[in-house]
Amino acid sequence: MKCEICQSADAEKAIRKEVGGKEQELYVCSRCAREGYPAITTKKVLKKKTAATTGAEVLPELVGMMIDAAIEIMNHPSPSEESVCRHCGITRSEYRKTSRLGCAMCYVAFAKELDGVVADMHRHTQHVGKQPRRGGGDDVAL
Amino acid sequence: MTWPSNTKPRRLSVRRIPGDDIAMGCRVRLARNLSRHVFPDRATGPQRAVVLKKIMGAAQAEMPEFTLSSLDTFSEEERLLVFEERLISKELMERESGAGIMVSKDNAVSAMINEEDHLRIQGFAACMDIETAWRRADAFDTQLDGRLEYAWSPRWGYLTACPSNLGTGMRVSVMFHLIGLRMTGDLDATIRGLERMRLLVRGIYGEGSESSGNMFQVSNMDTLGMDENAIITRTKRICEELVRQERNARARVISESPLAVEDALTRALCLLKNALLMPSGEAGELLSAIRFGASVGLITDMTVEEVDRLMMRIQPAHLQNEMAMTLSSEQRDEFRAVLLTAQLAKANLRKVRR
Ligand SMILES: [Zn+2]
Ligand SMILES: [Zn+2]
Repeated sequence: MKCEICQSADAEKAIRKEVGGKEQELYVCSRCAREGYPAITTKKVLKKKTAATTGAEVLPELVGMMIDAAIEIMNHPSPSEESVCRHCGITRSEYRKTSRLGCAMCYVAFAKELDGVVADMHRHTQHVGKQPRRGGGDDVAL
Repeated sequence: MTWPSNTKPRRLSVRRIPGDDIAMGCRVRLARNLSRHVFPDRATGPQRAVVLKKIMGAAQAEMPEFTLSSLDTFSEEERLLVFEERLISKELMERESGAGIMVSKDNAVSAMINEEDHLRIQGFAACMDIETAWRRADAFDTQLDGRLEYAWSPRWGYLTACPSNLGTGMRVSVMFHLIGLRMTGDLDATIRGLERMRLLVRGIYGEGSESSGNMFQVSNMDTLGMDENAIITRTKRICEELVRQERNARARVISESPLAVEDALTRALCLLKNALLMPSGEAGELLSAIRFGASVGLITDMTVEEVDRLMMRIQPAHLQNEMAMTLSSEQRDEFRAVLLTAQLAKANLRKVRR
């Protein structure tokens, strides 16, 4: 995923920052983290979020932010009850940072939020096409 | 002063602009994961090693003629070499352990192991023959499927590390040389148009890479909800339209701006034939112009295929491999200049203006 401040370098760390009067977690590149992101950019960050939620042109890098938007709609869970995949141990915020799931079972652990994300991303929610001879079944019942 | 009366354009009908040089090749990539195994990014070294062994075991049994290699045994230069061949992505090249590649004898099918997903199968074909690339990837996938258990759900299809690849796990990519659209100034609008039609436009080394030499990789964005044939048909239709636009742009720029075209080709030839130090980025841009000239017959005694081979040879790891030694950056620029001077000595410019 791209840095949420400069939108160009890859995001490497999470910082907490007041944006538009509300403290918020941002994923930023090392440079923006170091430089204390002087001219923030509320507009930039918010604009990108809006673009992501409309789902018009969704690039893979935006997955993390779409997850976030989905969560905001469903009310932000407090950190203590953050969802975790029991199989690979990945937390929602770790997933959000890289836009990558940890294992196939994450699709069960994060099913609720992924529903909206997948629909926005692909504009479809049902697979059609090739099927494996004997795959899935026993580990993913979605 | 006779200018501009002697810049009467050479009329060049679109029919004489070959389309095959514009769509340079295609690939179909299938993303697959093994069920009950943590995805590569999240996995530990030993967990990735288990996946590597499983997949290679299956491939060895099904396709004994394939070359299987663990990248752990590769030097940094060897990794860079296969990356430059576009057989592996930057991400696989940089994987700290457990990365593998499998390549068929004719190089038409390959697979990356432990990239973003456990398995990424790639079928290749010439020009825009996506059907052939798909047949190749599909056959390999079906063979491996007999021996592996893929992570899959009836609703979301093949389960991938990033939800953007869910469903078919299929990414169809066609590589384009879009110098005509660049010269007419229509490139940015064309790329935005492609993105509106839900195609991804990237540089030739795939995800995260910049374009160089006006080369672009165009691929489908959606992987879920359309079957493989529908994705192929849709992508191909748009790519055919892109070829049509590029052909028109090439014909137009030659007819309407012959002086600018002749200038660009003259400069490219002069620099390639005479420069003493040639950085790879600049060489790519200049060869891009030569490739265009060779395709439309304005550069003679040099074929498009020869230009393509040169583009491959002048990359850093390929140069070092050819010289069989490690080169400093300046030495590379020097050898690249020497190679290009020798290879382009025979190339000539035909007057664009009459
Ligand atoms: Zn940044
Ligand atoms: Zn998981």
